[in-house]
Amino acid sequence: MRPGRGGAFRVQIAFFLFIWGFTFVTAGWFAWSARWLHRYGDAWKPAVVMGIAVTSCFALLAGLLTWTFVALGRGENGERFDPVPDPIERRLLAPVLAGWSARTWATALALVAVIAWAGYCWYLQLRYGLAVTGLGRPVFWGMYIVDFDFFLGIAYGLVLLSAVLRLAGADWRRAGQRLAAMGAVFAMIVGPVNILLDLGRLDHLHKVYASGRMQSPLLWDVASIMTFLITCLVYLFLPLIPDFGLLRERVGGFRKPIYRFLSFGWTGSAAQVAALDRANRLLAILVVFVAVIVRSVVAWITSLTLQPLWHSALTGPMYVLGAIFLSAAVLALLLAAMRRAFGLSAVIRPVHFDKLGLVLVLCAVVWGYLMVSELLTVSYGNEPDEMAIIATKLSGRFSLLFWMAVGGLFAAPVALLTRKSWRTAGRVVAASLAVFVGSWAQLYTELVPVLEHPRMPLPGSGHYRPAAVEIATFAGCLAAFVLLTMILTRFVPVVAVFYERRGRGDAAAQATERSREYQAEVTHP
Amino acid sequence: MAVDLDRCTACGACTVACAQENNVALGNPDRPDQLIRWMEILPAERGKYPEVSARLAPSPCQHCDREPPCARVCPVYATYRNVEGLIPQIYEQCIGCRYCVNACPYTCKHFNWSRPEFPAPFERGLNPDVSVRNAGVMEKCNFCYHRLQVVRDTAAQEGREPKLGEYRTACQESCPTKAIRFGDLDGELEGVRENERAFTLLEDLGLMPKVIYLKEKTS
Repeated sequence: MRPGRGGAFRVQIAFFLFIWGFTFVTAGWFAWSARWLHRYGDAWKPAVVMGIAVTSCFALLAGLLTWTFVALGRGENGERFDPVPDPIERRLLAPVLAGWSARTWATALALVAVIAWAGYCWYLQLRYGLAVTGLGRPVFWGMYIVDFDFFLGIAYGLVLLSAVLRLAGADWRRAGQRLAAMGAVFAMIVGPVNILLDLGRLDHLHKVYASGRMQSPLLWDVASIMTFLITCLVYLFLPLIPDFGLLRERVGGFRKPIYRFLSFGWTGSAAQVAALDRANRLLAILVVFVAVIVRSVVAWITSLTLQPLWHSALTGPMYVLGAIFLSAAVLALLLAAMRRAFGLSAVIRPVHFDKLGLVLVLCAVVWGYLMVSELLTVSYGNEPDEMAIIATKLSGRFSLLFWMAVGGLFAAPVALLTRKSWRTAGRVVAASLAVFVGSWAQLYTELVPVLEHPRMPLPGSGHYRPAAVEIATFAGCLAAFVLLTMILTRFVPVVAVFYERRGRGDAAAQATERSREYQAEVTHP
Repeated sequence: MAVDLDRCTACGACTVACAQENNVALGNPDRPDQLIRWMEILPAERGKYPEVSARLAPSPCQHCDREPPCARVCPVYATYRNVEGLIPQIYEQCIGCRYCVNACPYTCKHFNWSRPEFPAPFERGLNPDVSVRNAGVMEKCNFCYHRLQVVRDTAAQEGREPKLGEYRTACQESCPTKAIRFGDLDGELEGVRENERAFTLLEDLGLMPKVIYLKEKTS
């Protein structure tokens, strides 16, 4: 029987119609916006530019998916994909095939409790207004926006890091590729929730689509989040197809038809493998561009205003680097957690922590350079508005958080991981925790101190201190991120079985090939 | 609008009149940072104790004439520069993202952190010409725009053009020393920009605010 035909086939066709339809609806929305903007005499070109950018991204994705799935559908002549389970596969599929232990249930329930608490706090906020937060004048944006930046940094960074490693052909990337994509999707779901929390009129959200003003950086953000969420889902899904094909053969019961549907007729023939490889490669190129742009858009929300210290060209590069930095730490933490939880020390090796530690040190050095550039430029210029803010960071109200950021993002990685022999799993995890906390502290000290120092001497303006509601919702977001990761790891292997197995086969041959190339260069001048 | 700081006594009548005219709620005294006052007296302190001097200046929305930063960043056209040069705020269009106030160098917009409450007997003093805002939207001084509409309607009914000085704001009417003058900068207030005492707030940003201050006369 040809796998994936019948009811599942129709659902797949519906899925294609959906993604193409979504592309056309997006194009139509931008065209319609441009038209009414033109009619009412406002700038319409931004709508056209954004429309072309976003729509071409969607069209590329839809085309890529269609092309890949047509190629996969033709793979029926290949041999059935049913190899004998090897130790690696057994190890990786164990969490998927086994049931949930009592400990897992207990952890999940604890996480659900935290999320429920956050949900209750959200209810309180919806009922009594944003007055229940610590926000006020002049700090109109607080922890919600910091958390939004933070989670989006994780999402953008994870995708950027893993795609760059893939394009660079780093062999060790394979163990983290799936986790990176998973983390990115979940951060992409959890992050924008903070925007919903922050909005005063959630019930007016549709106005962003109905009468969006394309010159506003917030609209750029809406468009980029929309684009990136879809991109990230595809980025997670495509490499999952071979594993779905494998799981289809390995599981029974109600899960079998689901995996059969998701595997899109994967049989593992050479033509299918080639098609999927091509799609993954093209996708990696696409996501690098998209991730850099969308991360910069988040930075531009603040840096395009006139406010002192926000109005800096360095914010964009700093955010992009910060995202890579934070995501390397998150990836190290995820790898360590999975290794511990599922006993994957055969797959997640010391080399992974060594290399991620190296990424952390490199990021720390570049971060230090950017931070010194910023501080030197501002303090040499000695503008009173900016100096007042810098002073609160260096030695004033925000000094604790600022030096936590410096400690976590510069001192800890450099002190813990500089030498190769130091980059053990334990030290890398410790440095990653420091980077995790430091990144949050840095985003906080970039946002709040500026707002606490308005140019005008406002009467009755207070200091910002996050209220219980804001802390609870952040805890809820973190819990949701962990819970979603926990749930998905019970349905798909945390390391791609197909790619890991193939990578092991190819690695030796590729290394020989590389070394032969170097030698060829030397022997033929 | 022209504010003569030489005449201003910082009595605060403009603040009260503005709140009364525009249905601004009293607010929660426990959260002074969440208070809403469209017209405020800004204190600028100079020097250190004991040689302290304070300059006080009434400050509404500055109604920037050139590319208002709030209108530039608004995602939904809730605030914009209209044909008269005023910067209105459409409460029903606002989504409450607060980007406008974070972009405003004067921080002169306000957010409704909670549903405004008007305990008895204040609810009887509500101005029927002005809507009471919902929780979660931005609001700010709009130079008593509803009064302009009344002036226009009256003039249209009487079959004439609005007269100079007919459109007056609440703060202007309440000012006991006539420090606040209001009108068209090319009409009632013609020449005020050329006054030797004239200045605007944060002039170097080039936003050309339409609130012109006249500094104190030095004796």
